[in-house]
Amino acid sequence: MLATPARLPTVQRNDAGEMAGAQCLGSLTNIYDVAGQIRATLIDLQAQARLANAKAD
Amino acid sequence: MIGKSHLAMAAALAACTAGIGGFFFGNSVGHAQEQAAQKRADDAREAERKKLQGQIDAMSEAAQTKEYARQGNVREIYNETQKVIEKPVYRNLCVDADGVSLLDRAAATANSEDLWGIAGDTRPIADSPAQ
Repeated sequence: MLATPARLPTVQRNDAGEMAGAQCLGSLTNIYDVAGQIRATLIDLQAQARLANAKAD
Repeated sequence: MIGKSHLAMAAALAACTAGIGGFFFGNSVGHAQEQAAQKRADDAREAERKKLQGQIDAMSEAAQTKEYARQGNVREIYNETQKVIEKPVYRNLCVDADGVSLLDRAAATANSEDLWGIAGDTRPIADSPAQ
């Protein structure tokens, strides 16, 4: 839970350094994956903090 | 012979001894009560801490289960993506090299990384963090 969050990935590209539709779709999927992972961790941490704070009051 | 004064002294001595004994007895009882109260408070705190830890552990376990489910969904999406991108429309260019550089800068910024070497970085060579 307290592990360093995953780095956001750079976008995929072809040899010319450009993105075709395939790379766009793949990149967005990867970014949503990492964002979802970070969001889930944040939600869990918030829930635990709320619980700990409620007990401390 | 034993006079009244001796009796009075003996009575006073007995009273003093009883007083001192009573003081130490009371002191020891008070100390024991204080220790018992401290132990009860410690036990209550420990029980509360264990309960909280149990709740946090249960929440972590539930979060882990959700994370596995999320990863499963991501795998499914990835597999379907590989099929979808075979359609000709996905060969169309949508972002040129300049746009990709911007996205690289956006990723570096989001990751709190140094932008050195990424296109668009206007700092002079002398400012390179590698030096």
